[in-house]
Amino acid sequence: MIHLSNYENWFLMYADGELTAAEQEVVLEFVKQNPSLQEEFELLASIRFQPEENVALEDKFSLTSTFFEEVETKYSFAPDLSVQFPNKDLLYKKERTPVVSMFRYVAVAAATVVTAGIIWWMMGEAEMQQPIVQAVTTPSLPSVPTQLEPAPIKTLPVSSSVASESNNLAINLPKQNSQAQTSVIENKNVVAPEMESIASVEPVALPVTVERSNSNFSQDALSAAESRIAKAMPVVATAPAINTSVLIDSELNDEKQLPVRGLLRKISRTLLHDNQEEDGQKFVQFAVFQIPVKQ
Amino acid sequence: MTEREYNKCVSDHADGVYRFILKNLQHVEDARDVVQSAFEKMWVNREQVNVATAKSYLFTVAYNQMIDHIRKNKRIELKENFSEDARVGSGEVPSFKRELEKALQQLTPLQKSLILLKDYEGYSYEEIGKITALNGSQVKVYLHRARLQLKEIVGKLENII
Repeated sequence: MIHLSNYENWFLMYADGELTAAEQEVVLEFVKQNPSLQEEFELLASIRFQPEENVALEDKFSLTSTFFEEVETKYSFAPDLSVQFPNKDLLYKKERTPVVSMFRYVAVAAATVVTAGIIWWMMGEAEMQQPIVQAVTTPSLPSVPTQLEPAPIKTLPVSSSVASESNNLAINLPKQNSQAQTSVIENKNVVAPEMESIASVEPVALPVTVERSNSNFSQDALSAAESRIAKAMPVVATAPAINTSVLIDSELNDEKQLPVRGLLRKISRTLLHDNQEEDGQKFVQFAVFQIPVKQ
Repeated sequence: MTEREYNKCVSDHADGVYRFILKNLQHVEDARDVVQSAFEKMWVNREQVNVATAKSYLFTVAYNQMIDHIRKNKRIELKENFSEDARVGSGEVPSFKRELEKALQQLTPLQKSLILLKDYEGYSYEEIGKITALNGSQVKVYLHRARLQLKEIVGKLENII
């Protein structure tokens, strides 16, 4: 509803022609009731523009389809395909791809492999050393019976080649018989130093088995050899059975550790020295440093 | 849109578009160029233009062309002898109407376009909004603001007189 606070909007809507006939009557009635607004209403209603009918576009031909078609046909040019750029090689471009140095990748890969190899080798060393400790501290050793029945003496082949052929050769030698054994059998299956104390507690028998099936000697020769060995080696008692495979492993480990130990010893010899000064004070020399040691 | 329909659009709407542009630009040649560009665009896109909306399409294209022209050339000049340059009939013009024409030229191109589209062509707020890329409410607000500005200009002139 029109009132004094919104009449201007109604007047503008009236000027825009947006009001219906009934609304226009309402506006006109409102103006009659408010003569002070008569002048403002007439001014707003008069601000309307009528098109000048005499203003016209003189040359309409430039807008017709005929004109545009003529422009399209008459003023179009067909390219002369015989004209070509003389040297297109100057225009060809090739995107530069970044050069990746393979040397760097190869160096990184080689360093990785070497590092992994060293770590693997050191880990292997640690694992190889672990069974020795287990073999020495194995709880099965105390369960070896002290009173053992005398084991039958087995014959030993005279020739070392016979003994070396036998893979199942199990030898348990007491300390005092080791010289005689090694003179007969050139075998590396020797009792470990850790086990010497156990073997020397009591005289032990020498269970020696030879697979005769693998021997190249005749039965008579083997029997003669057995009898000679029996005379030369009086057996008192049998030794406890010792797992020689552990001993073999430990010996092999010792052989594998030799280069490393040698290297470490060289290093320690080079860098570490125990010196004793004139006043009796001991020093440990590490390269050019001397560290006093309390006595 | 066929060729015949296009040519009928030229006959029916060319003058209206021309008046609308000429009133804004106040320059005959520029107005003619803008109108020709608008019709040329409709001719090129005649297959996509519907006959029913051809007039609105023409005004939209002409309005955009005119705004581009104003921005590029910035050569809107308020000419005292506009009627002669535009070959408008030089009959007796009432003083109020003459002052109103002058006041119109003080408005912005958008305000002028809104008033002329409303008064010349009788478009609704929504139709004007489609041409000028505004919504109906904006058209109404801007249009009323333009009329009040005109009222203020003309009112001052009347008081002086």
